[in-house]
Amino acid sequence: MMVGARAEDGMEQAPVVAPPQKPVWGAPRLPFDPLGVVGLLALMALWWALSAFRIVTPLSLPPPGAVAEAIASNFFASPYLANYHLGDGGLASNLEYSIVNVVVALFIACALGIVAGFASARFDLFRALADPLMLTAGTIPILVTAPFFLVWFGVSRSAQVALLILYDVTIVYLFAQRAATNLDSTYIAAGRTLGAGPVRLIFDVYLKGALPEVFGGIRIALAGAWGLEAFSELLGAPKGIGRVIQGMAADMDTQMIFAAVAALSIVAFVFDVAVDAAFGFLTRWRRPPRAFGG
Amino acid sequence: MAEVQLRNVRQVFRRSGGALVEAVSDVSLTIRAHEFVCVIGPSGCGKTTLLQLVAGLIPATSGQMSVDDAAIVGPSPERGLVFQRDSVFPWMRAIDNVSYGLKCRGVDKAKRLEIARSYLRRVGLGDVETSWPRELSGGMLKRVAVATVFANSPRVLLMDEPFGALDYVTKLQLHQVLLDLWGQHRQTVLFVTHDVDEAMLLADRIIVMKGGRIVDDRSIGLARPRTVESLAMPEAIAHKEVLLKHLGLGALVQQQAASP
Repeated sequence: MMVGARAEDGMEQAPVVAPPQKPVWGAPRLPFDPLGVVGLLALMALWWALSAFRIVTPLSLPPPGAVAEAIASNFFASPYLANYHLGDGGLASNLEYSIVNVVVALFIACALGIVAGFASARFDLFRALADPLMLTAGTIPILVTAPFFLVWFGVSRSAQVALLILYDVTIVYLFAQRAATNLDSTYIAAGRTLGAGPVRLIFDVYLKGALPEVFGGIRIALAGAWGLEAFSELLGAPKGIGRVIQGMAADMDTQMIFAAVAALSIVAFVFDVAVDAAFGFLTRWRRPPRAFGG
Repeated sequence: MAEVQLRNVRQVFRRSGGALVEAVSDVSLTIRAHEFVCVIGPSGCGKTTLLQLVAGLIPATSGQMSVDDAAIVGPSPERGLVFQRDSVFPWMRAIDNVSYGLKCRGVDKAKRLEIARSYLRRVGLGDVETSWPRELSGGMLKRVAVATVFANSPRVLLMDEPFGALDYVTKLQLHQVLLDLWGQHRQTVLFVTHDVDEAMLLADRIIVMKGGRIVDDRSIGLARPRTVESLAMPEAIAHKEVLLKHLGLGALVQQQAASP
């Protein structure tokens, strides 16, 4: 009997202490969901079929190949986009502008939201003051707030970043507050009796214990931030992927609109996968133990 | 040396309905250094509140509490607490949990890991130091919690029904682990339980609480190490009868007494 054939042999062949083998419970962990890939491929196939068989005119729905071509030829430099006063750097420099805004706003919002969320869980007075502010900030339509930011900050990065912070901070605040409120008080009491001071309690107990829930909030904020960034650029920004879409829409250049939207989607997807992987690593203590079997 | 003194300690809570509840009423108690004291009593008698007061987790409404004449004004690593509920941080590996108290006190890394490793070995967990708590069983987590508190070398050990949720065998094993560790330094122990046999097996002295007051205070003179047989000695049975009566199980005792 060959050693390699042992897996098929059944229980009686199993050694007393099994060496690590393939986990049998649950599928192997992939960095992405295979069903999601199937869904994406199906969508691409539908898109290709609709344009290839001329079910929809290329003006309404440019074929995938043409969109890919438009991304490639305008990515690092684009005289075409430069005509629209969108800089010499092509799609890449406009994407970079939007990415920087989203990332900077998210970092600032995390700092503010986590601190305020924890404080609100700990101090009733602070919660009474902060909750109405945060909850109303979250309900004001962006369409209403955006023009104000334009008036206050002018045509600059600040207007978009401020708008994004307002959106992100509401979500992160609520998740941080809930996480800190739900944290088992036994952990806090244990930390205190072991000699942890306030700073250690915040970093070693509250923050680590709340991290899984806070991360959930950060991912939701990030997912919504891309569309919001593009939208807020429409109201006045020197450049950015939203401005590209706006410029192209004015000239009915659907091919370039699709190129810009596709590029933004890819960026958002890559960020989400990277953030998910990083958060998964930071909260790896929550993963269930792996079961091994023969 | 660590003598715990409570003088006229009261603890009043306000329930959410507004009613005032006196969980601990006028308790005065001296626990001598190196003494192993068990507190038993029916559910809601104030025994856990008493322990939290000594731990410094809640302030007393009135009265004085001190360890060696130093007033208790809050939690301190010199009064280690093993909780009823699971208190092992799930986000730290076993060894980081055990060394956490030392980290808080600024012990350097090599030293604190060495201490933590030796305590993990002593509770029988030498092979799981890098495991995450999620990968350990309930009994193993209790061992980690016990090692964590001992590694911090407290002078007073407070235990709040630490083994209440464990099965019989695991519980007996952990009693042994606890007594072995305690035997080395003989910290002053205040151990809350609702289990009369557990108290008889562990304590030098058993205090009975009812309605927030101390209603009995008995020295248990049984020789150590105690075994299941020690609990069958006449002296032990006499103690047990009284303790069970305090817990409202008088009928059970009368039946036993009637039979020769």
